[in-house]
Amino acid sequence: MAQMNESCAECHREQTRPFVFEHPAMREGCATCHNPHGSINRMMLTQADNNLCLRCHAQVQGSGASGDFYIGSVDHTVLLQMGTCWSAGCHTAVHGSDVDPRLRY
Amino acid sequence: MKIVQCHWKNLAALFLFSALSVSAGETNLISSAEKISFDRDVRPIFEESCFRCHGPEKPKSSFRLDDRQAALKGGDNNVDDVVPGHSEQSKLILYVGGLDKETIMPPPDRGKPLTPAQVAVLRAWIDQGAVWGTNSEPALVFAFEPALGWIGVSGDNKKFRELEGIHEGAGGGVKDFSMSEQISSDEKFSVAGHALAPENDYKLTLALDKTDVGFVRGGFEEWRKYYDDTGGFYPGFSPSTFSLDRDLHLDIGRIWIDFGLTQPGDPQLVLGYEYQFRQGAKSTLAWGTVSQGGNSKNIYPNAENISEHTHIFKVDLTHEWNDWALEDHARVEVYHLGESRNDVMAFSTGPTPDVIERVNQSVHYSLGANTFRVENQIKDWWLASAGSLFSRYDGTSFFNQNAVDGSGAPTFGTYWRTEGITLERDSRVVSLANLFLPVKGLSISTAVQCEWTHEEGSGNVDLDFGDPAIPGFFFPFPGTVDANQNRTEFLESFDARYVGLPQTVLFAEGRLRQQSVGQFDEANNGTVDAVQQRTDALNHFYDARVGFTESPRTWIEWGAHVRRRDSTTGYNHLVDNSPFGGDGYPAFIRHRDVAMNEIEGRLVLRPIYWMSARLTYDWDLSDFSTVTDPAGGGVISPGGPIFDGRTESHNAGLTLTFTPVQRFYFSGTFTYDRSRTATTSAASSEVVPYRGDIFTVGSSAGYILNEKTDLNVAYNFSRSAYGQNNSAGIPLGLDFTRHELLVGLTRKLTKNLSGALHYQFSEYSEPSAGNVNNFTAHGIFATLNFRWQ
Repeated sequence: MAQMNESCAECHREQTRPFVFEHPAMREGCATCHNPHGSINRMMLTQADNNLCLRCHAQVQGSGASGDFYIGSVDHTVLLQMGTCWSAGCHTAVHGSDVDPRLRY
Repeated sequence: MKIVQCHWKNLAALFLFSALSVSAGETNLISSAEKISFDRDVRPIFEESCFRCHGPEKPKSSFRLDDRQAALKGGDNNVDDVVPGHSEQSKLILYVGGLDKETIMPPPDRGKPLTPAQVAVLRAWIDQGAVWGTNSEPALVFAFEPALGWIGVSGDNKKFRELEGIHEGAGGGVKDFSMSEQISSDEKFSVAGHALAPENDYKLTLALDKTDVGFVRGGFEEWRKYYDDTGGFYPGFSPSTFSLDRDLHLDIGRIWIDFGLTQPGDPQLVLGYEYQFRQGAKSTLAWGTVSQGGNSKNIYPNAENISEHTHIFKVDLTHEWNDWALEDHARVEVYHLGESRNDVMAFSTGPTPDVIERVNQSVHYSLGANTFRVENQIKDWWLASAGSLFSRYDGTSFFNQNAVDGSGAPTFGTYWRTEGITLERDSRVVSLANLFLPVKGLSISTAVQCEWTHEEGSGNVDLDFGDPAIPGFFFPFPGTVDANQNRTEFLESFDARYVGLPQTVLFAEGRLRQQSVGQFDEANNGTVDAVQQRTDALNHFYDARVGFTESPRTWIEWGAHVRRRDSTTGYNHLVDNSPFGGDGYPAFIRHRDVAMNEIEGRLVLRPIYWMSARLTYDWDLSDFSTVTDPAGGGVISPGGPIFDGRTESHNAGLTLTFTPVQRFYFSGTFTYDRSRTATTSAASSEVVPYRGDIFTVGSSAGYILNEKTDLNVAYNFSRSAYGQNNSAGIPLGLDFTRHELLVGLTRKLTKNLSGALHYQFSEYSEPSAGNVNNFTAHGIFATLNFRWQ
């Protein structure tokens, strides 16, 4: 796994450098989210939609209307309706951030 | 052949003729400009198809191919089997190419026919002088291959560039050139490369080698990677998709030089320097919000400008001392990255965006690393090696972000900046590996490795908020960030392979990892995002695989393996403070497990000597589960185990190769993929399962028309059906159909000149993007190959 990241890091230096706030998924290896052998999706993502993130970021059913989605204790229902988790203004710093623990920049 | 978003290094190889996405495969016949190596290219063909009858042992017709002098002398029937420089006069080519109706080699009952690609290798080898071995090359060899082409695209030309890796319109240059000179018996100089426009695809390599003394090698290469400039698609909007109307591309390249000492008996030393760069603009997936009729969807495209420069200095030392092999590799890397982007955050009525975030960030660092490895053959049955790695990273990052409206005036939003964040990382790795051959047919390898890593990052930040144009409505939030992490890993691996049973290989392999992470994160900024967390995480991972390969008859082979992986992590949250009301995420996650199962099988059949079929099947199942604390004081969630999601995929493939007549070759591959990822416990209008099918067909065929001319054709088809229909969210799955056709011929014109002419057709349609990415393309390309020696 570390070896896989090392291979990727030879070219993708910015994504594999140290960050103040690291995305812990990086410890599981680049192949957790990217298929290095090729994908139909941009950035060689294994999934093109929010299922990519929700596999690990446990969503819990809210106490309100049926179908509400909470990540932790934050209601993400409307945000998930708008688009991907990595949309502009949301968690764009998917590999890590030096300023924001929520990986928004 | 599957259509993929290629890695940029793969895309770098794409060019006008040889690398059209229609992979011509076996139909990419060797051009006469490509240098043929007897040992690398020709000998394997002779060994497979010729030496059994025309080797040193009782050669048929007294004709031998294992020795140049004997081959040029000919056999009982001919004296022109191999005529150096004249493949069209060489009987060998007529025989193996099926061009002589009375004599076919290999005889149909003795072996399968050579493919056109193999015939092309032999043809080019004879045209280049029919050199046996590697030490008797002509003193001076020169090759030059000019190219010219034109591509017309109707539809989305930017999507065409992204998928095909080439630019529409006229193009060309020098597809390949090379010159090598044997200066003396032990000195050789060579230069090679290519230069093609408008793709900015350039390469130049230079080498001066002196046997048993040393070498100087250097070069320059650059290539371009294209990006489409459209964003997402939402059918409920008009327009339903947006474009930046920019030609997005990155120019990627490197310059390098190596000095080497290769004196026998002395340590082998290489000193090198390399400069790498990436410059230009690329699209991102951070799409901005478009609002229409009270509905908001993140579909507006965005892009970033990149200026990345890396300097690498290296020293490589290898030495054989008695029975010991020693290696040491030292690297120093100096890196600078500048990124800027104007992300559209909000777009409503237009024509300009409502809010744009201007972001400038940079990172520069220096990295030093040294690896050392020693290897010793302790016994005939025992090979041992040990190694170490030390690395040190020191870096600084800068960040500056502000919000403006469509006219460029400051507007309401976030204004974040840093004056410099300090980043450090130290790593130490030691490893020990053994290879045992305890009994005949059995090999066992084992390895253990210990890694320790420490990371730190800290600095001052300003997370200001508001509208600077409105007095009293701009709120400064100065603060600090501070984090550190200690990570310790132990890795063990085991690999056993047994070949003692007839026609059978049995194998078993496993990897284990125990990882301990102590992490501290603090964001002290006076906002609801302020947080202080200290977490200990303990991970256990294993990956085990067992399988076999068996070939009970010469015409059949099968094999299979099963694999199981599991990664389990427990989190102990020692500190979890959110002083201004934040939720402290992700500190409510207590446990995470990811388990993967895989079964793979394959069957290879060669029912008749001119046909082979390969069938493969692969099944994967991954489950993701979590245990959490209660959320929202137990109101939102009581906590406990949660089944996060499951990914299941099936992949089946069939590859068919046949040569029904001597001059004809066909290879075709069909694959089918089906996968489904679901992460919600019930049907959701926001996030529907990501599921679909992919069909691909890749085929190529070649036909040797006569002793001077080859015809070739390749056709690829891809179909992805991952389209989604989620009523509340946006469809993000890809639904497309792609056709590609390449038809061409190559012809030898004179002794030193040959040419090729190709036509390409491409068609792409993507209903999941509202068909705005559709294109149709026609291209025609011509090359000439000059070779002189």
